[in-house]
Amino acid sequence: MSIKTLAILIFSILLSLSQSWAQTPEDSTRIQFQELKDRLDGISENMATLNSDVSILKWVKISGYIQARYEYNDSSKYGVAGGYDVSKNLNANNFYIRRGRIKFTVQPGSFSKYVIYFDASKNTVSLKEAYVELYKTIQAYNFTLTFGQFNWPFGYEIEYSSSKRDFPERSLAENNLFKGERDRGVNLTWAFPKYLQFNAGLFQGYGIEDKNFTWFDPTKAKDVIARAKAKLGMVDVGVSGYWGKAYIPGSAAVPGVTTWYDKNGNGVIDPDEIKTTAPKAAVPAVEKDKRRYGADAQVYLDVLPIGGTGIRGELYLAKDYNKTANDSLADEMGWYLWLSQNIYTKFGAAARYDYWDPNTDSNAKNDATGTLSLAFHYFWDSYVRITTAYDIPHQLKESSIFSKYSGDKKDNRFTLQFQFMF
Amino acid sequence: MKKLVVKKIGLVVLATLVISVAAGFMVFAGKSITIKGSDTMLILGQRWAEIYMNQNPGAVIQVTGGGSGVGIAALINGSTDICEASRQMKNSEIDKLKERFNTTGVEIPVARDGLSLYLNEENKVSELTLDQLKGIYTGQVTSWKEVGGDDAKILLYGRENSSGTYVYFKDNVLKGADFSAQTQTLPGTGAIVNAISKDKYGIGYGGAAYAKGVKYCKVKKDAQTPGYEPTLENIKSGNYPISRYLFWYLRNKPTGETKKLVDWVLSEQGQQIVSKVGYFPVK
Repeated sequence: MSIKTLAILIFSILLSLSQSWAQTPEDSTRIQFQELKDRLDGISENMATLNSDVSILKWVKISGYIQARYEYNDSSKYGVAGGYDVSKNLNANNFYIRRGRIKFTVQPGSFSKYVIYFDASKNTVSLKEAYVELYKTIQAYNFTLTFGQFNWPFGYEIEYSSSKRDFPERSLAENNLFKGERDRGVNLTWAFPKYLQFNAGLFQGYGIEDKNFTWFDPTKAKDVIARAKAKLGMVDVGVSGYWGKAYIPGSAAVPGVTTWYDKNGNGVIDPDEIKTTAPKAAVPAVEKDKRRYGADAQVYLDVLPIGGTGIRGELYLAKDYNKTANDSLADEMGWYLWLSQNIYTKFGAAARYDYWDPNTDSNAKNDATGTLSLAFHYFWDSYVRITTAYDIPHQLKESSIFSKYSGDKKDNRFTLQFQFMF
Repeated sequence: MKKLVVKKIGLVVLATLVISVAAGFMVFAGKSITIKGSDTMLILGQRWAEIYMNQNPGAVIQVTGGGSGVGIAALINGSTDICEASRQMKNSEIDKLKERFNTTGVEIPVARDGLSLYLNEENKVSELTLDQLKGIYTGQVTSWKEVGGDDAKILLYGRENSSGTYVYFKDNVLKGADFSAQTQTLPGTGAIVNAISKDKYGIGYGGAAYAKGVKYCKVKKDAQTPGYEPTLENIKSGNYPISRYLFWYLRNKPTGETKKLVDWVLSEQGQQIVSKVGYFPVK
């Protein structure tokens, strides 16, 4: 290699190095910028995937409440019935979990909703609700079709959550006529914006707490429920009707029986030593009409400086299978008047008079009951409500709803309840 | 026995009265006012609070967003005094208020807003009819070419379903129909405007207060009528077809400090702030 060639080579290297040194900051910045951009693009892509996953989680809502309760009953006694039957506890003063509810709601869009709702209380877990709801808006009317196991669309009290109610339990009429509050069936709701709502549905008719017909309906025809509700600002009113069939089980034929016993041992059957029971013909099962009608009204007043005042009332009239007189139907009537007062945001007080007569035709039985209930709430925070309540039931003379039957039982009840709701 | 029952009832009533009076004292002691709800109204609420607190040194007002739905939920569970909402309360929400507070709530319109449609400044399209908007946001119209623009896919931006703006748009523009699954939801009108400023073929909706860096899309009632922008004149005259009230909701009729604040917000001074923030006064 000549000196000239070497010099050219060194010059070229130096030139290229100088150029490369001169470009380094720009190139480096460009490379760093590209790296950052790639990273940002990667993060954006991950964020998009994450957003998509999280938005699916938003479909699911978990809610529920727990009611831990202590009850003191005037009727409580020490021990169990007969001293041996442990299933019949005479003491009614207990700490227990009255309701432990958890509800899973999945709503993937505006057109449908799926709900499954469980209750864990005392020592059992049960399915309270499981249904599908479909929504459709046609012009200004909103239609909702509900299919599965859900609240009977009758009256005001049934759909009013136990987590919001002032009193530990619903009225006696509701508990007797709609025990469990829920049934299996289908219901169509159509709402005219803001003011009017109609419901019509078909149901099994026996509810989820019927001991005999746990999931099947012995009557072929389904029971029909219809309801109309109007919202008129501070006043809401509703009427409900129920038309169904009550199934009254029959009984098998019983043959006549003749027995004799030679009591005096003389070897001869004397006439007074023969006993004969007459045969009984089979009694077929029958269906009887089951009718229930209801009217309800709620008034909300904002007149006191301490908070809102609610006045709620409901009337139940029913013709239903009378459990005490096997194959007969009884006219029943119940009503309540409920006054509720908020005291700022932290406190609330309420009073209710609840009347229930399971047989309005009978004047002799003194089987009507009037219960005065008083309740007071303290809202610990947005999730916890502490309630004290005192129930004073009276057995009433049929002739007057306010006069006590002389045989009135000693059965007042005090309740202390801590409720956590989420 | 009868006397005993009367005594017991008397005791319960007396205890209730005593606790109520005590509660009253507790409630009024150290009272601050909390305002929660609509993201669209967040800046407006903050401006009101700042100026009101400057003028009333003893007053303490806390303003937070989260969306109209979140604010209404807070009103129902008692964790806010005032809810800001860019839509009216639903029947189901009023029912919850009745259950918890025995009241139907108090609705106070505090401002007006033209719900604005935003387009990128480079987009050839400058006006759309209500039917075209419905078609675009329900996914029936997917290319700008179908509404007089470039042959390019329409990219949809919208609010989250907790937003009052989302509900208002769905009820009044989509007429209850569901949004296209392609709609990208963003937290706040500011985020929507920002996205559209970078996206030539994007379209989004939101409150008027955030209209920066993008152009308004004129809205036409139908193909025969002219298009209008969400200006004060157009909203007042009713020409702009998608305007709405912005509300404050309270559980009960306002009293004390809350009443003083509400009266001030509705006063000339309070309504001037509405205009400064970019909305339209109700008076």
